[in-house]
Amino acid sequence: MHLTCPLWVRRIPKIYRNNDPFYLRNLYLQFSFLFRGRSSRCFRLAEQRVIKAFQHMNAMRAVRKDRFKQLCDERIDAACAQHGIPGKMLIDGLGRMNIQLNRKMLQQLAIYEPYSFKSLTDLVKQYHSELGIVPPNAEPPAPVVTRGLLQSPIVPGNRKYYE
Amino acid sequence: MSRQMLPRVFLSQPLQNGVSRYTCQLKRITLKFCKFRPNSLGAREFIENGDFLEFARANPQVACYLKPRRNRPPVLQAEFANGSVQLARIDSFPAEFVRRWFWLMRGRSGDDLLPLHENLRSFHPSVQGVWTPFTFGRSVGLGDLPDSRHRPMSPSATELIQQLHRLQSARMS
Repeated sequence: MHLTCPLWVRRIPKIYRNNDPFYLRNLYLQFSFLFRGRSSRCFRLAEQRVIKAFQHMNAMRAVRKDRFKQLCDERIDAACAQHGIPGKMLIDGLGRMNIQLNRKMLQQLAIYEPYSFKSLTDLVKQYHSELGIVPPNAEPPAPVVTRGLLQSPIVPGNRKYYE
Repeated sequence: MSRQMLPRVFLSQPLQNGVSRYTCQLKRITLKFCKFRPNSLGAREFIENGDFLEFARANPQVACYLKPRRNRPPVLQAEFANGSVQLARIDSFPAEFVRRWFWLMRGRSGDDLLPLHENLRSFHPSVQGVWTPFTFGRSVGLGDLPDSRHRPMSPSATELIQQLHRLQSARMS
């Protein structure tokens, strides 16, 4: 039972406090604070909406990761298309060269450091041209002497050959 | 719903603390413990090992208090420059954990712990300049107007009349 402020003289002992139905209903109503209409004010409506909202929150966790990944892929693809290579080629090529940049960082670079991103695309083009694969719409990268380092990158297993 | 109930914030410091000089935001720290009960054992060991004094000597800017309270669980109360008070329950913690909580409070700003948009924040995120369609020469968005790919969804009045004329001619012939 919730008493109005002037009559709030009833001191409920702590062991009984949570059994009073007011406290459970208030908990749901706290969660329904910004809902639309009576679902934010009336417990019997709020309970349903709040439970559904919790289910949405749970379901969105996996979906959010996928959507962010899709967004990153789209951005990388668009940025690479300007330099003439597909986005998947960039991600694959960087992986093969042991350049460990994930999608999140690549899209940040594409937005905020476009010249660094261009240099990454140049690396990938160089790697593929050494293997004889030439992307059709791409400008050829600046000639660089790589001495086969792109093809045999330094990975934990072969570090001793470079010491 | 989660974003409404717990809005996300950007990482920030009160008054841009740390940009020019850093001020420790922790002003007072109180360790409340019981002298007898077993759940305060970690707190008592923390004091007896000398870690509490070490913290107090290393941080002269923080007022450190000890508050023995009978028959109560141990608690760490930290008060910050922005007026906020944070409590850390150290019930049955080992002394090492109590020590870590002390040093953690020392590094906090007193702002509420809310979910962040990003774990980093920069007012100048770009060094080379944010990408624009003109960054690598005018190589995107090139084209002449009108472009045959930009078709409006509904036909224009001229096209409607032309369609009607074609239908009518087909019916007449």
